[in-house]
Amino acid sequence: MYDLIILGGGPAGYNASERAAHAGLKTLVIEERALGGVCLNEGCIPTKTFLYSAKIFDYGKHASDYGVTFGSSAIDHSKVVDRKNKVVSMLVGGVGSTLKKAGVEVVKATATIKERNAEGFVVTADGKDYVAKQILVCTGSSAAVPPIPGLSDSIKNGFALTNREILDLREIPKSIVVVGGGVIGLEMASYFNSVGSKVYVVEMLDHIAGPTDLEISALLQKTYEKKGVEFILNAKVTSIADKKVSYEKDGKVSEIPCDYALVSIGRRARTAGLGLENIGVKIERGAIVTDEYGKTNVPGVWAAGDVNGKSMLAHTAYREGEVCINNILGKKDRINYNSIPSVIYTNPEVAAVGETEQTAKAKGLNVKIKTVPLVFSGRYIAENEGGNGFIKLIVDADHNNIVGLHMIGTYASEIIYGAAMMVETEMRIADIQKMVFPHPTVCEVIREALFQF
Amino acid sequence: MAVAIIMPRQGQSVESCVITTWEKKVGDNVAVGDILFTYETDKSSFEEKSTVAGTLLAILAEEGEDVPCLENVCVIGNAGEDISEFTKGAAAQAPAETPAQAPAQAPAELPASVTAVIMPRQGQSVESCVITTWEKKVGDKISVGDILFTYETDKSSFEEKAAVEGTLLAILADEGEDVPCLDNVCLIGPAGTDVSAFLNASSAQAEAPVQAAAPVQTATPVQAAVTTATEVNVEKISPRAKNLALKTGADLLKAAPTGPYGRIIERDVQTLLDKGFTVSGAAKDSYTSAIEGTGANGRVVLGDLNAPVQAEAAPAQVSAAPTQAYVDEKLSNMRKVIAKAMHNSLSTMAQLTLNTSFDATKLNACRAALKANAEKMGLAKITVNDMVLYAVSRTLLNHKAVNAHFLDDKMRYFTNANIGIAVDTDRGLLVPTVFAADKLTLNELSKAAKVVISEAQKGTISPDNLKGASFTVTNLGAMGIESFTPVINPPQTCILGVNNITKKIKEVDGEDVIYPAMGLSLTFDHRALDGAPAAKFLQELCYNLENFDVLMAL
Repeated sequence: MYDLIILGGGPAGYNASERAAHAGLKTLVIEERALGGVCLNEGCIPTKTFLYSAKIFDYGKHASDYGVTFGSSAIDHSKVVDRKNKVVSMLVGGVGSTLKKAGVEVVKATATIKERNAEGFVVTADGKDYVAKQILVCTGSSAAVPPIPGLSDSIKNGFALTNREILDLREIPKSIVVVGGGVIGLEMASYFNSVGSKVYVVEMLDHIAGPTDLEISALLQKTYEKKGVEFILNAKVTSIADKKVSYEKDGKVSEIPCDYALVSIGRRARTAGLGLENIGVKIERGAIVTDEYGKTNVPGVWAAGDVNGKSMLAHTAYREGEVCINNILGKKDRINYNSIPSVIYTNPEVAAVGETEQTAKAKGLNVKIKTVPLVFSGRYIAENEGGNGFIKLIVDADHNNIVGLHMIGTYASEIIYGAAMMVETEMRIADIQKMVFPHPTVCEVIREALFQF
Repeated sequence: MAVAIIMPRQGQSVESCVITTWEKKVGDNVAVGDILFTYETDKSSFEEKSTVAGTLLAILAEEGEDVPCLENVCVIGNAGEDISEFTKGAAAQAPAETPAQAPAQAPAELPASVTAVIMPRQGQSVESCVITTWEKKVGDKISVGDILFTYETDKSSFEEKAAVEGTLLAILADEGEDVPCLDNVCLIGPAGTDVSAFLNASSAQAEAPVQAAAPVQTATPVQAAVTTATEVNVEKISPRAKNLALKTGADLLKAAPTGPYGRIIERDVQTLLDKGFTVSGAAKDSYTSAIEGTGANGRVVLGDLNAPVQAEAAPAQVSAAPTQAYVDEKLSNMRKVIAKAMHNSLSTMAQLTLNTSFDATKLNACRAALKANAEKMGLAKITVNDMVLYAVSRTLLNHKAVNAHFLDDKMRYFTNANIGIAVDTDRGLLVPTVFAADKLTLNELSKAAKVVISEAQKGTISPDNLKGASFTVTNLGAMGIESFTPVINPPQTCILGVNNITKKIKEVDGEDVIYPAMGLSLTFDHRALDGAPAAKFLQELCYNLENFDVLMAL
């Protein structure tokens, strides 16, 4: 008999299990693949190893701008993949030993919720029944595969790839079509562009990078166009087959011949086959319905991470898992989705938190907006020849607190957490003006922007 | 930091109380809940329990001394602490200096002609009451005896009548607001008196040691409330506490001041921070009355400030669309209490019910005789229920487990039959108690029951009379119920359900006789007693009821 069974050992599940075990709950994690979930095995981390190799390679290409000359540079993609595998196995092993140390039991099997009986919830895994007082579902998401003609056959024959398969490609494709210009698509486009592939990005919307600030997504697109990526916007993919991706744009169908197609048009919560229907868990649009406390409609059943279909980011999943555990322990806790930062690890990086100019206007908020170029930072100029990054600060005009911050430029991924704290704690401009930022840094531009109001 | 304990104000008209006995002496260790001293008004006596822990550092009023309400009585703090600021105050308690030294008594800002009406304390255990309706509005002329407002505890409702005449100058607490007992509720005085200084300074400064827990709000413009509430807190806060609050964003509106004269001190701010009660910088300026925050760790954020507005908008929608399939109505305090008590009863006890009936022939005959002679003998209108209560009171003491409380690790057997009577009121079930019913004659019991039932129905019953029963009787016979399973009122061990009278047949001397049979349903807690003793009680009760004429002779 367990206090808690967690289905899925990804960011939501493994982090929650550690917190639960530390609080004294007898906790079992059931995971069918490797611990760490998509994030560690086929998402956040492996892509970051790729992109770092590309960044070093790019530095080499532009080194002469900074007075440095190398003999010659080359990238060995197969070695990049080997290193990725080493990093992943190190981190997955680390999660395993952390859980072991915390006293979390881990079972590697596919789990199905069988029933609820007088003792609690019964979960079957590997032919064995496990019983727990409460259940936390953290089964994550998988790449959405829409019914595009030829797509399922192309996935079978290896022409079409998802985020999972593309990370094990051993060769650099001559050409690749990225279907879907969101975070995943752009990061892989960035990598293959750096290492020499001809990259096309086909996107259905009129802009890339999804909900990102429109000025930033425009600059990002322009930057990558200069690097040679071709963007085809407002286009609907009509077929992925025979080494060709066909799309319809302005009523006209065109096709791009290519070595591979990366399908990155979104992710779908994994709720099928878990036996959720056996205990009556409510599912809407394929995702488990949860409230701000992580509760489902069934008392004792909680859900966190991508499976609730809300934010689909690893760091959201960590926090959602913790919120569930806190509430399970009787400590009231709820998640605030307004102050969750998001990052695109392109080069330059894009990072954002809170309202964008567009969402603030849609909500009818009375806001003041200031855009400040990063060249206000001495360090940015020192390190970025010809850099044109900027930050955009969104301020609630009634209360003078920061409600959103968006930036494109170096270190954005590491700077944004500070802005997230400002948004979460509703710090006012006057409060932040009295904080000291380190000099010389790129983040100083935030402070500079505050004095523009 | 040392804390001064004040003489509580027991009701509107009480100006001072006499200390009867000191239960602690200087140098004693005091724990929270320890009785410090007993004191009395001209009507009742009370015990003052400590709300802080520490060492009794000084006693400022001796036994037998008459102490004005809200004056310091003793000081509690850490052993060896300097308490000169309190003792100086005490030395200055001589009448001539009182106004200067006891700011708690009459705020300088309030003109002498103006009277502040406070929320009375209804019973020892009542901390606050909710204002139900205002019968007067600001500007109305008030005569002595006019009903100013109605208010309720979780059990009863009350009317507050004016004790002075004048004009209602200000209302300090809105309908629906939970006001701590002894806090100011409204101001009465000559028309046109300017009380703004008093409102702005601190309306409750003088009166209530715990006022900051629920900020005072004026009835009219929201802006006025803003100033009042904010300034109340800023005024009555120590510099250290203020610094800490500014630095951390502590939510002072949720503070429970423990300093002298209800002042917020550093540890109160620390308590707020420990509980996670903070306000964001952006929300701080428009935050005027304590609300639950939805930010991290319960921080009050901008979004929370608009929440009450939305809540107010919702009922309007309901009335605008009468065709809705249902109407959501918030549970009254009382309903919540009943819900909790009933669920607690059924989920924690091992309850079962025994059903039986008795021959009510003699009971009916007795009642007819009593009724016929009521006027002549000066008797109350004695009902069948009164007679059942009487029989119960005479039977209970022979069955100690039935007249008892089950307290988990012990049984508490009562020496008197304190009978609770379940009463259906407009607002829900109430169970007033007739204490020591076994000492009352049938006529006295009937009268006593009528008094408490009527008070319960009017909602004017003292909360103290809604507690303390050792056994409960509930009667659904008038509604035609033949048998039911009453739910025990914990920690009592039994409850008797009284049913209607049906005709039954029994064999007497070889002949079938039709007789009136009255049903009884006894629910008992099997944790506290077994089936046989419960059945024996019921058996004796039936015997006594069947021989009611003889029982009355006992």
